[in-house]
Amino acid sequence: MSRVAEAVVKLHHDSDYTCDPAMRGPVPLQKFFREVRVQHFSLGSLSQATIAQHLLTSGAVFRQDTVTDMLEDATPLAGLCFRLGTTAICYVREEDILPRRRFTAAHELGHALMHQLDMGRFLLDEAVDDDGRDTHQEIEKEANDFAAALLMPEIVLRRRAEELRTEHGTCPRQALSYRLASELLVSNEAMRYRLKNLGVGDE
Amino acid sequence: MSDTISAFLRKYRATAVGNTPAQPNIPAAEDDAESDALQRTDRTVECGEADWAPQDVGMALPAPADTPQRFIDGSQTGQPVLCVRSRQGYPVALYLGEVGAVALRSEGRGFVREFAAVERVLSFVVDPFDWAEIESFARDLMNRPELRLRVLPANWPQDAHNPFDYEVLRNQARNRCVQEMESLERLAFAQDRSVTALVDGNIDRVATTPKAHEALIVGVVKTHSTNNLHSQGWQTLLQLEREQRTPVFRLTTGGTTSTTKISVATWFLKLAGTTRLAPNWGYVRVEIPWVQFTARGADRFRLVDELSRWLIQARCTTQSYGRMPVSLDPIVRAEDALKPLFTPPVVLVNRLYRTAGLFRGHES
Repeated sequence: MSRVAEAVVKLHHDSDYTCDPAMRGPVPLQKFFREVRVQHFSLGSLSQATIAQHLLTSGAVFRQDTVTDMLEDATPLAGLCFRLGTTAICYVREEDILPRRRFTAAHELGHALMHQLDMGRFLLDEAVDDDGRDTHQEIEKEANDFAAALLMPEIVLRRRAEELRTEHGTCPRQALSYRLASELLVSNEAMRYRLKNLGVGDE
Repeated sequence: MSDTISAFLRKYRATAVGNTPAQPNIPAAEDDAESDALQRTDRTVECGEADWAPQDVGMALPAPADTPQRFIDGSQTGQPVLCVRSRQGYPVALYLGEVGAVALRSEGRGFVREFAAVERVLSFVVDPFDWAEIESFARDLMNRPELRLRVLPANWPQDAHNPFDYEVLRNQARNRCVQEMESLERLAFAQDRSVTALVDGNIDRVATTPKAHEALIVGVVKTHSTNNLHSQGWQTLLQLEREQRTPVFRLTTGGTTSTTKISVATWFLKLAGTTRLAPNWGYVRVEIPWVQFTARGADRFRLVDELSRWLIQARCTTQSYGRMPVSLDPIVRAEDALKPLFTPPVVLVNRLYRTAGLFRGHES
């Protein structure tokens, strides 16, 4: 089992969650955050500077010198995972569309669960691509794979494809992708890539 | 479970709204704007632009393999039922509806329903809300047996449009329902691609990559929102007598999704015409995939004439049907086969209001 698959299974176990394809609707990402005690926030104009301000004003960080260097960096970010001892706080860019915010949040949760040892104070993402564009860094690819596996469970995708084929005798990937993207609250691009990757649905 | 639904609606100050008439200044649908921007027209396919003139279609019918046998149509019903105020104050319309598609196949002198699907949806612009709240709201709406509503996240309006304008957000929600209906039409089309299919509307609603030697796809477009003709073309169109067509021209569009691109051979065909009809009424635009048109070589214009004759014969002749002059009998029958599958809107609205702890009566 890959490290990503292990992390997803462990998260399901720790959250007392069983993925039941008979249940409809998006995966309860919020529950996962709650169960593993990782906080998440959406901030406007996300950058190290706005995150540092938030860390200070929310009381998550008490000493300003811990984040002084961050306060000076206003480079736009899509997401950031800030390590706090053995847990973390995840940030996503508020201006992104909701399915992308959700994917980024899952991506940052992946960092929080899999890459604690690889990060210093934080891991930042200037962009998080949910549509399968090449990601060269191994940990970024792992975080993307984690988000995809968590938000678009293979068992659900295969079940919906089977339902479509049983009901209508056909399962075009494009139609399946549209339907599943809205059900699971992810972008159509992310869903199309995931289906293609898993070989689910007809070309 | 319904606590999540009513909690969300309470938090965002939901008020019941009715299906009020659309107000002025509704922006054009984004998809239309996108398609228009990407459209390319070649009006020299059959003759030079200056030589455009009405063409008689002849009496010959297409060969059986080219005769439409499957008829695809979609429909959506719905209305805004609730208005919630986002944290920023945007009046977000929640559009409750059903989307459906049907495929009929001609058998002998009748039709058989081969495909029918109807789904319940709640469409709205979700971006102003917290993802965690929408996640639980959407899950509960889907798993309530009496609702089974799938949330459709509608697109955030383009920058030029004011998100404080209720009409803008209502229009986005409705457009998303139409997209979902088109997705079901694609499914209906994909079920059987072995015979010639006729689609009510543009071909790209159902097929984005037609192949030259696959069964023919014919699109019949009744509404004409874009200007594809030159001055001589418009004069030709307005001169058409019943059972005449314009020369064939080529349209290449960006399609209804940004990733698709389709090129079609197309022509206007006058299905009906009497002295009492307005000059812009009674014609349809017919399209077939460009690759399928050119694959016919020297016979390509004969195919156009034969299909035109078939369409004239398939014209709806029910005088009581309002759009009779531009409607085809098989498509009217497809609509009739789909409509009974829809739940009366009032039933759906009442179920949602009851679940949400709202009472009907003050929304009209």
